[in-house]
Amino acid sequence: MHWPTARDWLFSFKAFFASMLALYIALALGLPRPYWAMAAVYVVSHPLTGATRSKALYRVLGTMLGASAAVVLVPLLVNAPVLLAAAIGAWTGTLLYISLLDRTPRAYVFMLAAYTLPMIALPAVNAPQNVFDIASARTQEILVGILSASVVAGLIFPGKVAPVISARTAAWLRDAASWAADTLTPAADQRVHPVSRHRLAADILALDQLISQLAYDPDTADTVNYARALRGRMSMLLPVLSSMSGMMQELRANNQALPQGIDTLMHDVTQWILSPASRPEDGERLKEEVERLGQTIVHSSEWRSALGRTMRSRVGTLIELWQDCLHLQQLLSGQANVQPWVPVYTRRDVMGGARHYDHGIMLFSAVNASVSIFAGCMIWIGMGWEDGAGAVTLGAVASCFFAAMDEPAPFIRLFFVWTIVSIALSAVMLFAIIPASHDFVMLVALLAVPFLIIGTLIPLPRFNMIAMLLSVNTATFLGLQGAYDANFTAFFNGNLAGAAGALFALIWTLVTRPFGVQLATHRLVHASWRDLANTAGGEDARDYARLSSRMLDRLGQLVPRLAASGDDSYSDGFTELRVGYSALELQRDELGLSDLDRHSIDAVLGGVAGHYQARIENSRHRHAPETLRARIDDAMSLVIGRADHASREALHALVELRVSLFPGAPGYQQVPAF
Amino acid sequence: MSGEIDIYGVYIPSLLAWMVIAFFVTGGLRFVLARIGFYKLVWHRSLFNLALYVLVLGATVSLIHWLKP
Repeated sequence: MHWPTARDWLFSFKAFFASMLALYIALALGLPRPYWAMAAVYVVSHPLTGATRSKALYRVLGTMLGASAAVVLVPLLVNAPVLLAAAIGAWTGTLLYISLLDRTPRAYVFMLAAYTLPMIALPAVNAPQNVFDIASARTQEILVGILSASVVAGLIFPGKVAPVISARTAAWLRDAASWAADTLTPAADQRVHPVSRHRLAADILALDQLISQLAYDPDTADTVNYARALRGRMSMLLPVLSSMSGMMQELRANNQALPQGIDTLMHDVTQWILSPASRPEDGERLKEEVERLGQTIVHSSEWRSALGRTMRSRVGTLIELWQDCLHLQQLLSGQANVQPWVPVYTRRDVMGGARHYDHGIMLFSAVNASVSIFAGCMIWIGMGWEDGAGAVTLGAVASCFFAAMDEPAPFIRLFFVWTIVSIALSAVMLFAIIPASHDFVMLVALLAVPFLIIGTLIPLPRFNMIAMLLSVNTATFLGLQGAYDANFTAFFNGNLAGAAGALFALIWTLVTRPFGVQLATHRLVHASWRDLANTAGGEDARDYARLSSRMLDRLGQLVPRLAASGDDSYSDGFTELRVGYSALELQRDELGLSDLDRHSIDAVLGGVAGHYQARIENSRHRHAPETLRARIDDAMSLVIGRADHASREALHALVELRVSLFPGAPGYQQVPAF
Repeated sequence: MSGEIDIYGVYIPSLLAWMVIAFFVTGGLRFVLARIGFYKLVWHRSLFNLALYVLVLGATVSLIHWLKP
């Protein structure tokens, strides 16, 4: 257990100050539920100002959307409770699905709209004429809370996103450097423990969240563009490094010496990448070295020579990518007198924004949430429980919050447990402590102790969710209003209903979603095989950027799941990525080849497509068939002796494909031409 | 100068309307200031924006009163 730092205390004070400001304004305006304004502050507070602002803006929009829907729906359907329940369920499910499709902070709009409707509509069913007042009051309360939160976050020691991103990318590049060094010159740098390459992929996805929040920072737009460009190049580094490490293993198999010249080059590149003081300009010298080496590698028809030549070309790519990364990193960290941004690596479009979505699982989550809300409403109608609205509402919130998870049940369990704790805490405060306060100042002093302590836990990733639940729920359950009228029966009835709703959501999830990470992993891997089969089969439009960014995105999603399930018997995620890149390369470079070559390369691509088709049909089918290797070797023998650009590119792609699919296979032998 | 504005039977406080107008005016001003690089001279951007907003709001209210005394 580590103690909160000064920074955590600062954050906690800011959040508490903003929430009390919101409470004061809401009380002064005479809004019916001032505590919603107070709770809203805690919902959006985040140590980074940009994150608070983006959440705040989207929360207002989402609340308005949900409130408008409530105003329209309730008067229409109030006399047909079953229909109303169905409509609410359908609305929540639909908006939840839309919010799952968007992985930027914008998703928050739809998430809020999804659960704001039940929040406003359900309590209004007994008095439908009040629905407009409830909706308008809730919108105003949220608005007051959010304005306080954003103003305080922006004015008092704002936490900027840019330095955080710059620190993250610097750390990421250090990790990537140690992987690169480990690949190029094994045993050169044993002091640094090579970081898991899987973590590198997962970290890129985490960075996406930060980059999307950067746009809301009180900063210039340049930073966002640099961060996006850097992110694109970072994700390009992964397949390049992964492929290089595969080729290096082949080259070093059985302790053979590297082809001449490669060794020195590797050493120099490693030195440059590892040294913290290296500048992008230094890459030019290394690229000249790569050029010189190209003239010395003989065009012999040997497997090892082909490997060496491919390696050399990929080292060139690595140098260019690394130059760009260093340059962008300098720009991001705000170093003075940096050259204006001109990309060095221009071979590929790295900024593709395509994402992989598992529509099946998303649809299931969304439909499941709507059915659970409908079922909750039916139970409530059947029991005729007066406070049932609170139960269904909190159940809906719980299902929406965690819908994006593979296995929401543990999270909903946490939600339930901490809801109970919040009820206990607010009961103690409401009936033992707050009666002692006679004015607002006294009330603030009494609230300060618990809220400041809980607030320090919000910035800590381990406690973030628990602290969030505690602060928001306690603020809500306290139900601070203009006059003190705590009534024990009403308090317990209303709040136990909330706990019952969370419990219902938990049971519902346990029953309907017994599967989780395993299924998601399985579907991700299968989706990548399908993509590969289509790409190699030439069925997809040859949109390089879209396909490659989708494959990278899938890798990023797959990695944390592989780590969680600890089962990589299917795939390590990287092999598919490398095969995909090679297939795309071959299709690109087909254009400049003769008919004979194209025919043999088509045979290779057909073989790759067939292999992955077979894997989809039977996932235990692991090894690529020998016939495919024979086809690759045939195609290689055609292009290996030529020096034109297209043949060279095709050879490199074939070599990489062979290394990815047949690691450790006996080397390629030129078939003697009779 | 009544304190409320009637929009199809929904009464909203007129101050709210002025605040919304001032918000959009400030947004335009901020865009222009950012384009001409004025913010490089500002020490605390958020504080400056808040002050600017209050000034614009005051100007809006004064202007309305001057037009409709």
